[in-house]
Amino acid sequence: MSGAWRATIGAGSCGLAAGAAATRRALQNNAQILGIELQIVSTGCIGLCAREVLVELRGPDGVTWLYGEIAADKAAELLQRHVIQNEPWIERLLLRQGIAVHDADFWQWQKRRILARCGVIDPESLEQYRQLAGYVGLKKTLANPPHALLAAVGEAGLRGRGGAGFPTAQKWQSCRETPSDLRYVICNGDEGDPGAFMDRNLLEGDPHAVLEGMILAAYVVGAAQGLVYVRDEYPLAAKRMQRAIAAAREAGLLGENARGPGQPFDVELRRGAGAFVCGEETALIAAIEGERGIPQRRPPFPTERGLWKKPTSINNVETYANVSWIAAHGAAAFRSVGTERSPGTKIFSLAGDIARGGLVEVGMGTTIRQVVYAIGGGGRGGRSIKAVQIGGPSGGCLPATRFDTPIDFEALPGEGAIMGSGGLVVMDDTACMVDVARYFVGFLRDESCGRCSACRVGTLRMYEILTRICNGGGVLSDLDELQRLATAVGDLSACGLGRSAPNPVLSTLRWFRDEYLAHILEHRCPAGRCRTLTQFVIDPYLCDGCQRCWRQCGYGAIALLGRGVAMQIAGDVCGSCGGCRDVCGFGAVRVV
Amino acid sequence: MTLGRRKRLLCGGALPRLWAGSRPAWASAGGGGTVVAIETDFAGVARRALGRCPGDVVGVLQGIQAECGYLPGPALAEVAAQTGRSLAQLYGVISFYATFSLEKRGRVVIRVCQGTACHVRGAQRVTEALTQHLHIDPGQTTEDYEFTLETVACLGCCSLAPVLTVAGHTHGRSDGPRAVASLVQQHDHEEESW
Ligand SMILES: Cc1cc2nc3c(=O)[nH]c(=O)nc-3n(C[C@H](O)[C@H](O)[C@H](O)COP(=O)(O)O)c2cc1C
Ligand code: FES
Repeated sequence: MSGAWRATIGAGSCGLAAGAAATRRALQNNAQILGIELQIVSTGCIGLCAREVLVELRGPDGVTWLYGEIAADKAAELLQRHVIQNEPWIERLLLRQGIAVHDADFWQWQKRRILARCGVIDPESLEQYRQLAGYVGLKKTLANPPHALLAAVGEAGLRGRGGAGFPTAQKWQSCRETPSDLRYVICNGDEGDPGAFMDRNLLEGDPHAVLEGMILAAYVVGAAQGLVYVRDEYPLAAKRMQRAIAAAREAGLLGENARGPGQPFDVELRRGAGAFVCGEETALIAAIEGERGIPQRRPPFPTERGLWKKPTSINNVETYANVSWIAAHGAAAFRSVGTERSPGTKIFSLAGDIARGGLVEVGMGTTIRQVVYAIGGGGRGGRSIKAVQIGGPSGGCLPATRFDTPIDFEALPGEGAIMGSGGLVVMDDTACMVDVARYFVGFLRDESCGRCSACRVGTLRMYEILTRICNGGGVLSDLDELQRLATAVGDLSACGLGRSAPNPVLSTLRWFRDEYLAHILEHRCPAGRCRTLTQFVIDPYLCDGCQRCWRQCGYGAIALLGRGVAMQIAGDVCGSCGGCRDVCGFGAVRVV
Repeated sequence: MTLGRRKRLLCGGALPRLWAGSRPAWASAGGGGTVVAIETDFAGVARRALGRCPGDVVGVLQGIQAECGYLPGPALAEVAAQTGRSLAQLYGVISFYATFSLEKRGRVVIRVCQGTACHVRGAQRVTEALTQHLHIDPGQTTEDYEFTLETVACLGCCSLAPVLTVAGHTHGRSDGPRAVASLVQQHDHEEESW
């Protein structure tokens, strides 16, 4: 073996959850045993979470090889094959020097602009960030007056990525024009939308891009203090951001002369404490002030009267990363991707019943079909996809027949969904849409701050009705009642949480009414989710007798008759949890 | 479940800060901490937390919880006294946020994700398996204060659903009762995440 090898491990939260730490240890040990000079470095999430743990090998010749599914027990084989025998392990090879070998479609259809550094650089290295055009935009911007960047962001047509799509330049303008001695910029890293992880990945994989965006925003609005609010469930993101702040301070990018000579700017990190509604900007301010996170009436908007009653500009994590990009590359380049009214790219997190889940970035206006089928590779295990849930609890479910809808701020609301922050949860034919509606209403019931009675009581009532339907006790008039309640909650609530709370109910009622009817009229859950209405059987003609379902079953309901003999489910013991169906590789477990 | 530690715990205060984490407060606020300090001058803990982040009440509470595993009364009294808030006001803040606990929690906190992706991929089965294994419902703590079972909205590892954290370590693709049981058994051998 000659020369040094380098292994880069995707060590975002997702990589670590899949066992990246164990893989690193295994690589280290095996390199030692095999006598390979191996340097191991970490990076943020590389993107293709479905193939975690991802390891990129770089040989002495400088060629990079990205491997997927390298759990700790595969580390030895990887080194043995690739380094010692000098033969790439083709089955697990994803990219060779950036050229796709497996899962080519995942990379090919993306437009990785904001994610360009994510999964490439060491997120804790300011130096590496600088090498890839980092803090270039800041330098350019500081050489010009603040309104130059304001104009550029306006020209780029950047719209907030936190959900509402509000024009960023307009927000900054308003904050800048409110007379005050002190102003704040806040980075909203609350990402409360369950099933979404774009912001976590940016904070973990490229924290300096977010920080640079904040410094730029502070320069435009004239803020001396910035705060990053990171939710409690993201400890690694908080850690990496904290280190980035420290590094930037050391480099003089934050501190006394951050925004130019004599113009101080510093950033502080705050941790959330587990409340979805704190993602709403006025609630977030209340949380930072140490109060209950209850949204306040707007106007006055935070840009007029925000944190500690001072003008405050709040933007999403991804918005700030976009600002850095615009400052470095200019407005025209930014507009080269996307649609007229929604320019630029958007990051989506693909999860649920999908073959290739992960973090993807595409131009605005890409259709759902392209994202789900081309990039995501379609359903998991070849199952057919029924719907995608887009926009989280404020969004809606779109059926497969509407997958040609382009994803941008304009087209989705017409279909009863919203773009939201970018969470895409894919559901196949094992997901019950009534159950999904109940799930979201239950979530909102728990997370409602309780201030408006419509939201507080309305979500509870809807939850009760949906639960009844799921248990087979629903009546036809429940559907009208749901519709009425949902509309009332939306109309009578003060903040965005309540106003958008009806979306999951209304969108499922609109697109999946047949499933509601099956529950109510036929006492049947077509997807086999609602347990009281579901009974599973194993088809003896399809069953291979592999015993996987038997090992999975927590109820002891599957009869083991011998290897190679078809399994049977004992109906009276069975909890109808569907675990057996999930693991069956032959599609032998069916709903009666 | 490791009998050894249970017995040690039963021996009372013989092993005070043995398990105290060394991570700074912001790295493990509320969530993952597996820290149970048995003696402890709670007012002192509160004063330290106040010193670390003055003016940030939620941060102070997180600091206390990171150190004690929950929010003990004497510490809250100290916070109230020092910040000029009433205990009732503090209680209002505490009860608003999901991560705060006013009751002593187990040495190992297990949090099962109930986010959308995990829900679709069978989070309920994971919760059930844990309930069966530990004989407690979500929100409860085992009698020996070894385990607390909690649910959480999303851990941001949705593409590896279903996801759970055991003592602050996140595990993905954790389906199946046996897989879950072995995670619980193994938690002691886990090293620091990275
Ligand atoms: C209930 C609710 C939850 C929200 N959660 C988030 C969130 O988690 N992250 C976020 O960036 N914005 C969230 N928002 C939107 C914020 O209020 C605000 O519009 C956004 O942070 C502004 O940033 P942007 O202009 O860059 O999008 C939420 C809004 C509501 C009503
Ligand atoms: S939904 Fe479980 S980690 Fe996001």
